[in-house]
Amino acid sequence: MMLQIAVCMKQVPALNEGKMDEGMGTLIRKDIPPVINVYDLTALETALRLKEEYGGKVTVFSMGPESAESLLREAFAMGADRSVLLTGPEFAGADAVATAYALSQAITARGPFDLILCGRQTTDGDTAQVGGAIAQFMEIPSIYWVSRIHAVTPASCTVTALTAKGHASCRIDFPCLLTVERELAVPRIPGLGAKIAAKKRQPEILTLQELPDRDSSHYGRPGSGTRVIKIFSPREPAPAAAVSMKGKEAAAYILEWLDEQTEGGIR
Amino acid sequence: MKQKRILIYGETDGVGLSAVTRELIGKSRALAAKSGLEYSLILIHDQAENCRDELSAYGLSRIYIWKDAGDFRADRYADLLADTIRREDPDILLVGGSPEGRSLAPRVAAIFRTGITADCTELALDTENRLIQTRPAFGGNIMAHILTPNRRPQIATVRPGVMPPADRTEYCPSPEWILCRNTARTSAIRLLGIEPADAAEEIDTCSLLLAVGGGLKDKEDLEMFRELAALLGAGLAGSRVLVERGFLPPEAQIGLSGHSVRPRKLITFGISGSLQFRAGIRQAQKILAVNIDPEAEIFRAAHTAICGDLYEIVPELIGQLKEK
Repeated sequence: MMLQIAVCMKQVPALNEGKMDEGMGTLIRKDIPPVINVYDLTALETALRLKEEYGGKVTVFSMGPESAESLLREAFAMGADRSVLLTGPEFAGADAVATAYALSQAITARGPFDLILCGRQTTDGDTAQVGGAIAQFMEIPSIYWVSRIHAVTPASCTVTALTAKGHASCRIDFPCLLTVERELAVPRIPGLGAKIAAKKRQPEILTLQELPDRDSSHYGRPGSGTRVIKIFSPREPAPAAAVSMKGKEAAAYILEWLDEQTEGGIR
Repeated sequence: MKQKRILIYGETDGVGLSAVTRELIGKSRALAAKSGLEYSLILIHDQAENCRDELSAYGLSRIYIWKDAGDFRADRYADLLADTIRREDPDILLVGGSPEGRSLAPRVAAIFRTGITADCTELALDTENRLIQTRPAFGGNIMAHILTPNRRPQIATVRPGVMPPADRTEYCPSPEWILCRNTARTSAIRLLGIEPADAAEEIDTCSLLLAVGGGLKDKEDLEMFRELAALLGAGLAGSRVLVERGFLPPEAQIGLSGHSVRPRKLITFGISGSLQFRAGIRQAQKILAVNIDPEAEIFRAAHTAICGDLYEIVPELIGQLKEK
Protein backbone atom coordinates (compact mmCIF):
# COMPACT_ATOMS: atom_id res chain seq x y z
CA MET A 1 0.00 0.00 0.00
CA MET A 2 1.21 3.50 -0.73
CA LEU A 3 -0.80 5.90 1.37
CA GLN A 4 -0.49 9.54 0.44
CA ILE A 5 -1.03 11.48 3.64
CA ALA A 6 -1.23 15.27 4.01
CA VAL A 7 -0.87 16.90 7.45
CA CYS A 8 -1.87 20.52 8.12
CA MET A 9 0.23 22.31 10.72
CA LYS A 10 0.37 25.81 12.14
CA GLN A 11 2.90 27.89 13.98
CA VAL A 12 1.42 29.51 17.10
CA PRO A 13 2.79 31.62 19.96
CA ALA A 14 4.07 29.44 22.81
CA LEU A 15 2.10 29.62 26.01
CA ASN A 16 4.68 29.04 28.70
CA GLU A 17 4.98 29.88 32.34
CA GLY A 18 5.08 33.59 33.11
CA LYS A 19 4.24 34.71 29.62
CA MET A 20 0.94 36.26 30.53
CA ASP A 21 0.20 39.72 31.84
CA GLU A 22 -1.19 38.97 35.30
CA GLY A 23 -2.99 42.27 35.63
CA MET A 24 -4.53 42.22 32.18
CA GLY A 25 -5.01 38.47 31.96
CA THR A 26 -3.75 38.67 28.39
CA LEU A 27 -0.77 37.26 26.58
CA ILE A 28 2.38 39.26 26.33
CA ARG A 29 2.82 38.43 22.67
CA LYS A 30 6.12 40.05 21.90
CA ASP A 31 9.14 37.88 22.63
CA ILE A 32 6.97 34.76 22.62
CA PRO A 33 8.82 32.19 20.55
CA PRO A 34 6.62 30.49 17.94
CA VAL A 35 6.06 26.77 18.34
CA ILE A 36 4.13 24.11 16.44
CA ASN A 37 0.53 23.92 17.59
CA VAL A 38 0.66 20.88 19.92
CA TYR A 39 -2.47 19.32 18.45
CA ASP A 40 -0.82 19.32 15.01
CA LEU A 41 2.10 17.30 16.38
CA THR A 42 -0.41 14.54 17.13
CA ALA A 43 -1.66 14.74 13.55
CA LEU A 44 1.91 14.41 12.23
CA GLU A 45 2.71 11.55 14.63
CA THR A 46 -0.45 9.77 13.49
CA ALA A 47 0.57 10.18 9.86
CA LEU A 48 4.08 8.86 10.54
CA ARG A 49 2.73 5.78 12.34
CA LEU A 50 0.33 5.04 9.49
CA LYS A 51 3.19 5.37 7.04
CA GLU A 52 5.37 3.04 9.13
CA GLU A 53 2.62 0.45 9.40
CA TYR A 54 1.10 0.57 5.92
CA GLY A 55 3.68 2.32 3.75
CA GLY A 56 3.29 5.68 2.10
CA LYS A 57 4.42 9.27 2.10
CA VAL A 58 3.75 12.12 4.52
CA THR A 59 3.55 15.70 3.24
CA VAL A 60 3.20 18.57 5.69
CA PHE A 61 1.37 21.76 4.70
CA SER A 62 1.55 25.04 6.50
CA MET A 63 0.45 28.57 5.68
CA GLY A 64 2.32 31.49 7.13
CA PRO A 65 5.27 33.84 6.82
CA GLU A 66 8.60 32.49 5.58
CA SER A 67 9.75 32.25 9.20
CA ALA A 68 7.38 29.26 9.47
CA GLU A 69 10.10 27.28 7.68
CA SER A 70 11.46 26.39 11.13
CA LEU A 71 8.20 24.54 11.80
CA LEU A 72 8.61 22.55 8.62
CA ARG A 73 12.19 21.62 9.53
CA GLU A 74 10.90 20.27 12.81
CA ALA A 75 8.41 18.21 10.80
CA PHE A 76 11.30 16.90 8.65
CA ALA A 77 13.20 15.98 11.81
CA MET A 78 10.21 13.96 13.02
CA GLY A 79 10.10 12.09 9.72
CA ALA A 80 7.97 13.97 7.18
CA ASP A 81 8.90 13.18 3.55
CA ARG A 82 7.89 16.49 2.03
CA SER A 83 6.83 19.85 3.34
CA VAL A 84 5.08 22.71 1.63
CA LEU A 85 4.88 26.28 2.90
CA LEU A 86 2.10 28.35 1.41
CA THR A 87 3.28 31.91 1.75
CA GLY A 88 2.73 35.39 0.38
CA PRO A 89 1.16 38.71 1.32
CA GLU A 90 -2.15 37.66 -0.27
CA PHE A 91 -2.74 35.13 2.52
CA ALA A 92 -2.35 37.53 5.46
CA GLY A 93 -5.29 38.21 7.73
CA ALA A 94 -7.22 35.07 6.80
CA ASP A 95 -10.01 33.85 9.08
CA ALA A 96 -10.82 30.14 9.52
CA VAL A 97 -12.73 29.76 6.24
CA ALA A 98 -10.21 31.72 4.14
CA THR A 99 -7.36 29.73 5.73
CA ALA A 100 -9.16 26.50 4.90
CA TYR A 101 -9.69 27.62 1.31
CA ALA A 102 -6.00 28.46 0.86
CA LEU A 103 -4.92 25.14 2.37
CA SER A 104 -7.42 23.21 0.23
CA GLN A 105 -5.94 24.88 -2.85
CA ALA A 106 -2.39 24.05 -1.76
CA ILE A 107 -3.32 20.43 -1.05
CA THR A 108 -5.03 20.19 -4.44
CA ALA A 109 -1.98 21.68 -6.14
CA ARG A 110 0.33 19.06 -4.59
CA GLY A 111 -2.16 16.17 -4.47
CA PRO A 112 -3.84 13.82 -4.81
CA PHE A 113 -3.89 12.57 -1.22
CA ASP A 114 -5.79 9.66 0.33
CA LEU A 115 -5.90 11.07 3.80
CA ILE A 116 -5.67 14.61 5.20
CA LEU A 117 -4.98 14.91 8.94
CA CYS A 118 -5.49 17.99 11.11
CA GLY A 119 -5.08 18.56 14.85
CA ARG A 120 -8.30 19.00 16.80
CA GLN A 121 -7.78 22.79 17.04
CA THR A 122 -5.03 25.37 17.42
CA THR A 123 -4.01 26.80 20.77
CA ASP A 124 -4.27 30.40 19.56
CA GLY A 125 -7.55 30.59 17.66
CA ASP A 126 -9.17 27.56 19.37
CA THR A 127 -11.80 27.42 16.60
CA ALA A 128 -11.54 23.80 15.38
CA GLN A 129 -13.16 24.97 12.15
CA VAL A 130 -10.39 24.84 9.55
CA GLY A 131 -10.45 21.05 9.03
CA GLY A 132 -14.16 20.82 8.24
CA ALA A 133 -14.00 23.73 5.84
CA ILE A 134 -10.98 22.21 4.01
CA ALA A 135 -12.96 18.99 3.56
CA GLN A 136 -15.96 20.86 2.19
CA PHE A 137 -13.84 22.89 -0.25
CA MET A 138 -12.30 19.63 -1.48
CA GLU A 139 -15.71 17.92 -1.46
CA ILE A 140 -14.49 15.00 0.61
CA PRO A 141 -16.00 13.45 3.77
CA SER A 142 -14.69 14.44 7.20
CA ILE A 143 -14.78 13.06 10.72
CA TYR A 144 -13.92 15.18 13.74
CA TRP A 145 -12.64 14.20 17.22
CA VAL A 146 -10.96 10.96 16.09
CA SER A 147 -9.36 9.11 19.01
CA ARG A 148 -8.31 5.89 17.23
CA ILE A 149 -7.58 4.69 13.73
CA HIS A 150 -8.01 0.94 13.43
CA ALA A 151 -8.01 -0.77 10.08
CA VAL A 152 -6.64 0.87 6.95
CA THR A 153 -7.29 -0.54 3.48
CA PRO A 154 -6.28 0.99 0.15
CA ALA A 155 -9.79 2.43 -0.15
CA SER A 156 -10.88 3.34 3.39
CA CYS A 157 -10.09 3.43 7.09
CA THR A 158 -12.03 2.62 10.25
CA VAL A 159 -11.88 5.11 13.10
CA THR A 160 -13.30 5.77 16.56
CA ALA A 161 -14.60 9.29 17.07
CA LEU A 162 -16.42 11.19 19.79
CA THR A 163 -20.07 11.98 19.11
CA ALA A 164 -22.88 13.25 21.34
CA LYS A 165 -23.99 9.64 21.87
CA GLY A 166 -20.55 8.25 22.72
CA HIS A 167 -17.63 6.78 20.84
CA ALA A 168 -18.74 5.97 17.32
CA SER A 169 -16.93 3.47 15.18
CA CYS A 170 -17.07 4.54 11.51
CA ARG A 171 -15.64 3.47 8.20
CA ILE A 172 -14.74 6.36 5.93
CA ASP A 173 -13.74 6.14 2.26
CA PHE A 174 -10.59 7.77 0.89
CA PRO A 175 -10.00 10.55 0.10
CA CYS A 176 -11.09 11.97 3.44
CA LEU A 177 -10.13 14.33 6.23
CA LEU A 178 -9.81 13.47 9.93
CA THR A 179 -9.16 15.76 12.88
CA VAL A 180 -7.37 13.87 15.62
CA GLU A 181 -7.44 14.03 19.41
CA ARG A 182 -4.24 14.22 21.42
CA GLU A 183 -4.87 10.81 22.98
CA LEU A 184 -4.43 9.18 19.56
CA ALA A 185 -0.63 9.29 19.64
CA VAL A 186 2.15 10.82 21.72
CA PRO A 187 4.42 12.78 19.35
CA ARG A 188 7.97 11.47 19.04
CA ILE A 189 10.95 13.61 20.02
CA PRO A 190 13.40 13.72 17.11
CA GLY A 191 17.03 12.76 17.85
CA LEU A 192 19.95 15.12 17.39
CA GLY A 193 21.04 13.45 14.14
CA ALA A 194 17.61 13.86 12.62
CA LYS A 195 17.53 17.50 13.69
CA ILE A 196 20.87 18.23 12.07
CA ALA A 197 19.87 16.46 8.88
CA ALA A 198 16.60 18.40 8.80
CA LYS A 199 18.48 21.71 8.94
CA LYS A 200 19.85 21.03 5.48
CA ARG A 201 16.45 20.38 3.94
CA GLN A 202 14.38 23.10 2.37
CA PRO A 203 10.60 23.13 2.46
CA GLU A 204 8.93 23.72 -0.90
CA ILE A 205 7.59 27.24 -1.20
CA LEU A 206 4.17 27.58 -2.77
CA THR A 207 2.76 30.95 -3.81
CA LEU A 208 -0.57 32.21 -5.12
CA GLN A 209 0.60 31.93 -8.73
CA GLU A 210 0.93 28.16 -8.43
CA LEU A 211 -2.56 27.53 -7.03
CA PRO A 212 -5.47 26.40 -9.23
CA ASP A 213 -7.44 29.51 -8.14
CA ARG A 214 -5.22 32.60 -8.50
CA ASP A 215 -7.88 35.19 -7.65
CA SER A 216 -6.36 37.02 -4.68
CA SER A 217 -9.77 38.27 -3.51
CA HIS A 218 -10.53 34.69 -2.37
CA TYR A 219 -7.68 34.68 0.14
CA GLY A 220 -6.44 36.47 3.22
CA ARG A 221 -8.41 39.36 4.64
CA PRO A 222 -10.41 40.08 1.44
CA GLY A 223 -11.47 36.42 1.36
CA SER A 224 -12.54 36.42 5.02
CA GLY A 225 -16.15 36.89 6.04
CA THR A 226 -15.41 37.73 9.67
CA ARG A 227 -13.96 40.87 11.23
CA VAL A 228 -12.65 41.09 14.77
CA ILE A 229 -14.03 44.39 16.06
CA LYS A 230 -12.79 44.29 19.64
CA ILE A 231 -10.43 42.29 21.84
CA PHE A 232 -10.57 42.44 25.61
CA SER A 233 -9.57 40.52 28.75
CA PRO A 234 -12.12 38.33 30.47
CA ARG A 235 -12.91 39.38 34.01
CA GLU A 236 -12.17 37.14 36.94
CA PRO A 237 -14.75 37.32 39.70
CA ALA A 238 -13.97 39.64 42.60
CA PRO A 239 -11.74 37.61 44.92
CA ALA A 240 -13.73 35.76 47.53
CA ALA A 241 -12.76 36.11 51.18
CA ALA A 242 -11.92 32.63 52.43
CA VAL A 243 -14.04 31.52 55.37
CA SER A 244 -12.47 28.97 57.72
CA MET A 245 -14.71 25.98 58.31
CA LYS A 246 -14.51 22.57 59.92
CA GLY A 247 -15.59 19.41 58.14
CA LYS A 248 -19.22 19.18 59.18
CA GLU A 249 -20.00 22.86 58.75
CA ALA A 250 -18.18 23.04 55.41
CA ALA A 251 -20.02 19.98 54.08
CA ALA A 252 -23.42 21.44 54.95
CA TYR A 253 -22.39 24.75 53.39
CA ILE A 254 -21.27 23.08 50.16
CA LEU A 255 -24.52 21.11 49.87
CA GLU A 256 -26.50 24.32 50.29
CA TRP A 257 -24.34 26.02 47.64
CA LEU A 258 -25.01 23.14 45.25
CA ASP A 259 -28.75 23.67 45.64
CA GLU A 260 -28.56 27.35 44.69
CA GLN A 261 -29.69 28.22 41.20
CA THR A 262 -27.11 29.51 38.75
CA GLU A 263 -27.73 32.51 36.52
CA GLY A 264 -30.44 31.94 34.01
CA GLY A 265 -32.23 29.51 36.28
CA ILE A 266 -30.40 26.45 35.03
CA ARG A 267 -28.73 23.87 37.15
CA MET B 1 -37.62 44.74 3.03
CA LYS B 2 -37.52 41.07 3.97
CA GLN B 3 -37.84 40.42 7.66
CA LYS B 4 -34.52 39.31 9.14
CA ARG B 5 -34.35 35.64 9.96
CA ILE B 6 -32.49 33.28 12.25
CA LEU B 7 -32.25 29.58 11.43
CA ILE B 8 -31.41 27.24 14.31
CA TYR B 9 -29.83 23.86 13.70
CA GLY B 10 -31.70 21.60 16.13
CA GLU B 11 -30.30 18.45 17.73
CA THR B 12 -31.87 15.75 19.84
CA ASP B 13 -30.41 13.75 22.68
CA GLY B 14 -32.26 10.57 21.82
CA VAL B 15 -35.30 11.47 23.95
CA GLY B 16 -36.14 15.07 23.08
CA LEU B 17 -34.42 18.26 22.05
CA SER B 18 -30.84 18.58 23.28
CA ALA B 19 -30.13 21.17 25.97
CA VAL B 20 -28.08 23.36 23.66
CA THR B 21 -30.93 23.46 21.14
CA ARG B 22 -33.20 24.88 23.84
CA GLU B 23 -30.49 27.41 24.64
CA LEU B 24 -30.28 28.49 20.99
CA ILE B 25 -34.05 28.90 20.87
CA GLY B 26 -33.95 30.92 24.11
CA LYS B 27 -31.28 33.23 22.71
CA SER B 28 -33.08 33.62 19.36
CA ARG B 29 -36.26 34.51 21.15
CA ALA B 30 -34.48 37.12 23.26
CA LEU B 31 -32.90 38.65 20.14
CA ALA B 32 -36.25 38.58 18.33
CA ALA B 33 -38.00 40.34 21.21
CA LYS B 34 -35.67 43.31 20.76
CA SER B 35 -35.43 43.46 16.99
CA GLY B 36 -38.56 41.88 15.51
CA LEU B 37 -36.68 39.25 13.55
CA GLU B 38 -38.19 35.80 13.14
CA TYR B 39 -36.60 32.48 14.01
CA SER B 40 -37.05 29.02 12.55
CA LEU B 41 -35.49 25.61 13.14
CA ILE B 42 -34.24 22.65 11.14
CA LEU B 43 -34.25 19.16 12.62
CA ILE B 44 -32.68 16.28 10.73
CA HIS B 45 -34.12 13.36 12.63
CA ASP B 46 -36.33 10.36 12.04
CA GLN B 47 -38.16 10.68 15.37
CA ALA B 48 -38.82 14.41 15.02
CA GLU B 49 -42.46 13.69 15.89
CA ASN B 50 -41.42 13.21 19.52
CA CYS B 51 -40.46 16.87 19.67
CA ARG B 52 -43.58 18.19 17.97
CA ASP B 53 -45.40 19.45 21.09
CA GLU B 54 -42.33 21.03 22.56
CA LEU B 55 -41.31 22.72 19.31
CA SER B 56 -44.78 24.23 18.97
CA ALA B 57 -44.38 26.12 22.25
CA TYR B 58 -41.44 28.38 21.42
CA GLY B 59 -42.80 30.90 18.92
CA LEU B 60 -40.80 29.44 16.01
CA SER B 61 -41.96 30.59 12.56
CA ARG B 62 -41.07 27.54 10.49
CA ILE B 63 -39.81 24.09 11.37
CA TYR B 64 -38.03 22.08 8.69
CA ILE B 65 -38.02 18.34 9.32
CA TRP B 66 -35.73 16.04 7.34
CA LYS B 67 -36.54 12.35 7.58
CA ASP B 68 -34.70 9.26 6.39
CA ALA B 69 -31.32 10.98 6.57
CA GLY B 70 -29.82 8.33 8.85
CA ASP B 71 -27.33 8.97 11.65
CA PHE B 72 -25.17 12.06 11.73
CA ARG B 73 -22.54 12.27 9.04
CA ALA B 74 -20.93 15.64 8.47
CA ASP B 75 -20.88 15.48 4.68
CA ARG B 76 -24.50 14.42 4.19
CA TYR B 77 -25.95 16.63 6.91
CA ALA B 78 -24.07 19.66 5.55
CA ASP B 79 -25.77 19.13 2.19
CA LEU B 80 -29.22 18.88 3.77
CA LEU B 81 -28.66 21.94 5.95
CA ALA B 82 -27.42 23.87 2.90
CA ASP B 83 -30.61 22.95 1.03
CA THR B 84 -32.71 24.39 3.84
CA ILE B 85 -30.56 27.53 4.01
CA ARG B 86 -31.17 28.14 0.30
CA ARG B 87 -34.90 27.81 0.88
CA GLU B 88 -35.16 29.79 4.15
CA ASP B 89 -32.48 32.39 3.28
CA PRO B 90 -31.59 33.23 6.90
CA ASP B 91 -29.38 36.16 7.93
CA ILE B 92 -28.08 34.17 10.88
CA LEU B 93 -27.45 30.44 11.36
CA LEU B 94 -27.01 29.26 14.95
CA VAL B 95 -25.50 25.84 15.64
CA GLY B 96 -24.84 24.23 19.02
CA GLY B 97 -21.18 23.88 19.97
CA SER B 98 -21.66 20.13 20.39
CA PRO B 99 -19.32 17.57 18.79
CA GLU B 100 -21.85 17.29 15.95
CA GLY B 101 -22.45 21.03 15.52
CA ARG B 102 -18.79 21.94 15.51
CA SER B 103 -17.99 19.39 12.81
CA LEU B 104 -20.99 20.40 10.69
CA ALA B 105 -20.91 24.20 10.83
CA PRO B 106 -17.53 24.81 9.12
CA ARG B 107 -18.64 22.68 6.15
CA VAL B 108 -21.73 24.83 5.77
CA ALA B 109 -19.64 28.01 6.08
CA ALA B 110 -17.45 26.73 3.25
CA ILE B 111 -20.47 25.97 1.05
CA PHE B 112 -21.68 29.57 1.36
CA ARG B 113 -18.18 31.07 1.68
CA THR B 114 -19.32 33.06 4.63
CA GLY B 115 -17.92 33.84 8.06
CA ILE B 116 -18.16 31.46 10.98
CA THR B 117 -17.46 32.24 14.63
CA ALA B 118 -16.83 29.18 16.76
CA ASP B 119 -17.79 28.51 20.34
CA CYS B 120 -19.53 31.82 21.08
CA THR B 121 -20.31 32.62 24.70
CA GLU B 122 -22.53 35.61 23.98
CA LEU B 123 -24.57 36.90 21.04
CA ALA B 124 -26.13 40.33 20.57
CA LEU B 125 -27.38 42.50 17.71
CA ASP B 126 -25.93 45.87 16.77
CA THR B 127 -28.02 48.85 15.59
CA GLU B 128 -28.17 47.40 12.05
CA ASN B 129 -29.29 44.01 13.39
CA ARG B 130 -25.92 42.46 12.63
CA LEU B 131 -24.78 39.70 14.96
CA ILE B 132 -22.08 40.65 17.48
CA GLN B 133 -20.43 37.37 18.38
CA THR B 134 -18.35 37.07 21.54
CA ARG B 135 -15.86 34.24 21.84
CA PRO B 136 -12.78 33.35 23.84
CA ALA B 137 -9.42 32.65 22.22
CA PHE B 138 -5.98 31.66 23.50
CA GLY B 139 -7.43 29.15 25.92
CA GLY B 140 -9.80 31.73 27.36
CA ASN B 141 -7.17 34.41 27.98
CA ILE B 142 -8.61 36.80 25.41
CA MET B 143 -12.19 37.57 24.47
CA ALA B 144 -13.12 38.93 21.04
CA HIS B 145 -16.15 40.55 19.48
CA ILE B 146 -16.56 39.36 15.90
CA LEU B 147 -18.86 40.52 13.08
CA THR B 148 -19.59 39.01 9.69
CA PRO B 149 -20.44 42.33 8.03
CA ASN B 150 -21.07 41.48 4.39
CA ARG B 151 -21.66 37.77 3.91
CA ARG B 152 -24.72 35.72 4.72
CA PRO B 153 -25.68 33.77 6.60
CA GLN B 154 -23.68 34.87 9.62
CA ILE B 155 -22.81 31.52 11.23
CA ALA B 156 -22.11 31.06 14.93
CA THR B 157 -21.59 27.90 16.96
CA VAL B 158 -22.56 28.44 20.58
CA ARG B 159 -20.92 26.92 23.62
CA PRO B 160 -23.34 24.62 25.44
CA GLY B 161 -24.47 25.58 28.91
CA VAL B 162 -23.82 29.33 28.83
CA MET B 163 -27.12 30.70 27.53
CA PRO B 164 -30.45 30.31 29.34
CA PRO B 165 -32.80 27.80 27.68
CA ALA B 166 -36.17 28.81 26.27
CA ASP B 167 -39.28 28.42 28.42
CA ARG B 168 -42.39 26.99 26.82
CA THR B 169 -45.20 29.44 26.26
CA GLU B 170 -48.80 28.34 26.25
CA TYR B 171 -50.10 30.86 23.77
CA CYS B 172 -47.91 31.49 20.79
CA PRO B 173 -48.50 31.32 17.03
CA SER B 174 -48.24 27.79 15.65
CA PRO B 175 -45.17 27.17 13.56
CA GLU B 176 -45.41 26.13 9.93
CA TRP B 177 -44.17 22.54 9.54
CA ILE B 178 -42.21 21.80 6.40
CA LEU B 179 -41.42 18.19 5.66
CA CYS B 180 -38.33 17.84 3.51
CA ARG B 181 -37.35 14.90 1.40
CA ASN B 182 -33.93 13.40 1.52
CA THR B 183 -32.91 13.60 -2.10
CA ALA B 184 -30.93 10.35 -1.93
CA ARG B 185 -27.54 11.83 -1.18
CA THR B 186 -25.04 9.21 -0.15
CA SER B 187 -22.27 9.53 2.39
CA ALA B 188 -18.77 8.15 2.20
CA ILE B 189 -19.02 7.43 5.93
CA ARG B 190 -20.61 4.31 7.36
CA LEU B 191 -21.47 4.12 11.04
CA LEU B 192 -20.52 0.71 12.45
CA GLY B 193 -21.46 1.09 16.13
CA ILE B 194 -21.50 3.36 19.18
CA GLU B 195 -20.14 2.82 22.70
CA PRO B 196 -21.30 5.19 25.45
CA ALA B 197 -18.53 7.51 26.70
CA ASP B 198 -17.19 7.39 30.29
CA ALA B 199 -18.10 10.27 32.54
CA ALA B 200 -14.42 10.95 33.11
CA GLU B 201 -13.94 11.84 29.48
CA GLU B 202 -16.62 14.47 29.54
CA ILE B 203 -15.02 17.00 31.83
CA ASP B 204 -15.45 19.74 29.25
CA THR B 205 -19.17 19.14 28.86
CA CYS B 206 -20.52 18.19 32.31
CA SER B 207 -22.55 20.73 34.27
CA LEU B 208 -21.18 19.90 37.72
CA LEU B 209 -17.49 19.27 38.02
CA LEU B 210 -15.15 18.40 40.89
CA ALA B 211 -11.48 19.23 40.50
CA VAL B 212 -8.70 17.89 42.73
CA GLY B 213 -5.14 19.13 43.05
CA GLY B 214 -1.85 18.76 44.83
CA GLY B 215 -3.54 18.75 48.24
CA LEU B 216 -4.25 15.08 47.61
CA LYS B 217 -1.67 12.94 49.39
CA ASP B 218 -2.11 9.48 47.91
CA LYS B 219 -3.56 7.99 44.77
CA GLU B 220 -5.90 5.88 46.95
CA ASP B 221 -7.43 9.08 48.29
CA LEU B 222 -8.93 9.66 44.84
CA GLU B 223 -11.43 6.94 45.74
CA MET B 224 -13.36 9.25 48.05
CA PHE B 225 -13.59 11.81 45.24
CA ARG B 226 -14.83 9.16 42.84
CA GLU B 227 -17.48 8.23 45.39
CA LEU B 228 -18.43 11.89 45.89
CA ALA B 229 -18.59 12.51 42.13
CA ALA B 230 -20.83 9.46 41.68
CA LEU B 231 -23.16 10.60 44.49
CA LEU B 232 -23.44 14.08 42.97
CA GLY B 233 -23.54 12.98 39.33
CA ALA B 234 -20.49 15.16 38.77
CA GLY B 235 -17.43 14.84 36.55
CA LEU B 236 -13.98 14.46 38.13
CA ALA B 237 -10.98 16.41 36.90
CA GLY B 238 -7.63 17.52 38.26
CA SER B 239 -4.80 19.98 38.01
CA ARG B 240 -1.60 19.31 36.13
CA VAL B 241 0.29 18.10 39.19
CA LEU B 242 -2.06 15.12 39.62
CA VAL B 243 -1.59 14.14 35.99
CA GLU B 244 2.18 14.43 36.35
CA ARG B 245 2.06 12.21 39.45
CA GLY B 246 0.08 9.69 37.39
CA PHE B 247 -3.00 9.93 39.64
CA LEU B 248 -5.27 11.01 36.77
CA PRO B 249 -5.14 10.53 32.98
CA PRO B 250 -4.27 13.56 30.77
CA GLU B 251 -7.90 13.71 29.56
CA ALA B 252 -8.88 14.77 33.07
CA GLN B 253 -6.48 17.74 33.25
CA ILE B 254 -7.80 21.28 33.54
CA GLY B 255 -5.67 24.25 32.53
CA LEU B 256 -3.80 25.81 29.66
CA SER B 257 -2.04 22.57 28.78
CA GLY B 258 -5.19 20.55 29.44
CA HIS B 259 -8.88 21.24 29.03
CA SER B 260 -10.79 24.46 29.31
CA VAL B 261 -13.94 23.55 31.20
CA ARG B 262 -17.30 25.27 31.36
CA PRO B 263 -19.44 23.65 34.04
CA ARG B 264 -22.29 25.52 35.65
CA LYS B 265 -20.75 24.69 39.01
CA LEU B 266 -17.17 23.79 39.83
CA ILE B 267 -15.78 22.75 43.22
CA THR B 268 -12.02 22.64 43.61
CA PHE B 269 -10.36 20.69 46.42
CA GLY B 270 -6.72 21.23 47.34
CA ILE B 271 -5.89 23.16 44.17
CA SER B 272 -3.49 26.05 44.68
CA GLY B 273 -4.68 27.79 41.51
CA SER B 274 -1.80 28.79 39.24
CA LEU B 275 -2.52 31.27 36.46
CA GLN B 276 -2.38 28.36 34.00
CA PHE B 277 -4.99 26.45 35.96
CA ARG B 278 -7.22 29.52 36.34
CA ALA B 279 -7.15 30.07 32.57
CA GLY B 280 -8.86 26.70 32.23
CA ILE B 281 -11.79 27.55 34.53
CA ARG B 282 -12.70 31.04 33.31
CA GLN B 283 -15.87 29.76 31.70
CA ALA B 284 -17.19 28.07 34.82
CA GLN B 285 -20.32 29.89 35.97
CA LYS B 286 -19.90 29.39 39.72
CA ILE B 287 -16.73 28.29 41.47
CA LEU B 288 -16.38 27.11 45.06
CA ALA B 289 -12.82 26.54 46.19
CA VAL B 290 -11.66 24.51 49.19
CA ASN B 291 -8.05 24.92 50.26
CA ILE B 292 -6.22 24.61 53.54
CA ASP B 293 -4.06 27.67 52.79
CA PRO B 294 -5.99 30.94 53.34
CA GLU B 295 -3.65 32.70 50.90
CA ALA B 296 -4.13 30.18 48.07
CA GLU B 297 -4.29 31.80 44.64
CA ILE B 298 -7.32 29.75 43.70
CA PHE B 299 -9.41 32.04 45.91
CA ARG B 300 -8.76 34.84 43.35
CA ALA B 301 -10.80 32.92 40.82
CA ALA B 302 -13.49 31.60 43.17
CA HIS B 303 -16.93 33.03 43.91
CA THR B 304 -17.04 31.16 47.20
CA ALA B 305 -13.96 30.26 49.24
CA ILE B 306 -13.65 27.79 52.09
CA CYS B 307 -10.46 27.53 54.06
CA GLY B 308 -10.51 23.99 55.34
CA ASP B 309 -9.07 20.49 55.20
CA LEU B 310 -10.35 18.36 52.33
CA TYR B 311 -9.62 15.22 54.39
CA GLU B 312 -12.21 16.41 56.94
CA ILE B 313 -14.70 17.89 54.50
CA VAL B 314 -14.99 15.24 51.80
CA PRO B 315 -15.84 12.25 54.08
CA GLU B 316 -18.36 14.50 55.84
CA LEU B 317 -19.92 15.47 52.49
CA ILE B 318 -20.21 11.83 51.48
CA GLY B 319 -21.83 11.03 54.83
CA GLN B 320 -24.36 13.86 54.59
CA LEU B 321 -25.24 12.96 50.98
CA LYS B 322 -25.86 9.34 51.95
CA GLU B 323 -28.19 10.42 54.77
CA LYS B 324 -30.31 12.44 52.34
